[in-house]
Amino acid sequence: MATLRQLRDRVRSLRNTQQITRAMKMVAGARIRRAELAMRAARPYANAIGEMLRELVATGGAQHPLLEQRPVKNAGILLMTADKGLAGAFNSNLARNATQLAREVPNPHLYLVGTKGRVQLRSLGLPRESDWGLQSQPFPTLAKAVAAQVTEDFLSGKVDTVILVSSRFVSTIVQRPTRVQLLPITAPEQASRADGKALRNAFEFEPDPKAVLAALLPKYVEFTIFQALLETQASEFAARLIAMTNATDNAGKLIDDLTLVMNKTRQATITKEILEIVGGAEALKTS
Amino acid sequence: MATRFHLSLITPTALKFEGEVEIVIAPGAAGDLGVLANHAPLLTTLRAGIVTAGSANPAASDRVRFAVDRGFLQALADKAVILTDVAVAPEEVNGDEARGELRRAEDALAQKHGHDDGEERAAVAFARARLELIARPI
Repeated sequence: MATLRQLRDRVRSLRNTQQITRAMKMVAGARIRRAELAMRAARPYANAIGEMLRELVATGGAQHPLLEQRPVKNAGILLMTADKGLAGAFNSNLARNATQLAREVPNPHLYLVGTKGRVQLRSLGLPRESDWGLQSQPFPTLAKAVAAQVTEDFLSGKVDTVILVSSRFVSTIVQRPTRVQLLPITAPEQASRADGKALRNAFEFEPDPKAVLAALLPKYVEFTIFQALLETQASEFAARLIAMTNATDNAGKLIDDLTLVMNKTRQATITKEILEIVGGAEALKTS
Repeated sequence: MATRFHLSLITPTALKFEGEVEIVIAPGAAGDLGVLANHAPLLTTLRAGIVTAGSANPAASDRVRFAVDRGFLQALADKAVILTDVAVAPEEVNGDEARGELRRAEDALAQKHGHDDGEERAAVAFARARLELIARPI
């Protein structure tokens, strides 16, 4: 059985840990709200750019190198993770998904956003084309940099497809790793209209369909990455909020248990001392 | 009074403007264009510049102006959508910052000697648009 002093030290160290986990929980809670707002703010843009792309592709004859389907000999995997751990299984779930994907596709090349992904996938020994920190720069700039790199490699023929593995923010409780084919671009599904017929407008394009397509497609890739960054970020905070809430609760439980043991030990010591004194006094009396 | 239609001005980070307007004037690929209600379906790229929207009367108090980066304009009979990376209202413009950016953008443009300078041209135009926005309020 541990001595009183050992118990006291353990409780103190647990309290310190709990203080840290509680602080991290509160930070995550505060930041998740902002991340969620940013995610929501990006939605109108997502809808609008998706609709424009559909209109363009629907006009037919939409031809652009970024739309070109080639037989896949080299596949690019763009994995997004957090920069930091202490977020439960968040990073390992994403890394596992990417590892699995790397087994399914021919000649995987890795593009990594977030330092945790780099650490977790190092053991695969796959060619790593580029990596970026998730927090290394503001998201619009980061999205631009990532988009430029994968687009260039796709156009140069280094990779024939790029698949994005990132976290989808379903709710604070649920975050799911998802895969999206980034390149070649496939037009998003037409949202079915209430009256059952698709919207068809004879669009006019200025300066011409080709030029509009050439401007819109890179923007679409960039925005898809931007949106994935926002979702991954929000998911990270949500995962950390849950992990740290659990950690704080567990620390609390341990502290309670240990405090009980500590009090019992102390009481036992006191009782023992009283018994000794009383015993001693009794012995003196009778002698 | 002219017929109104729905306009949304959208950036990746915000819905900058949404409302019923009579006219939208935007810097189209083939020159500035004005869009009224019942426009034929149109999808055009936008240059960096100034977007004006509101009542057809230029002196009306409900006219709004934004400096926008390059983007896209989609017009339909009853709505118009403008997509751009950045849009700033006059009250959001920081004059010194915009002047600084204009200077840097102009230097960068000069370095390119006219080759593949789309980015730099747009940066110059966007900085100029912001300055124009605060120099000439509605």
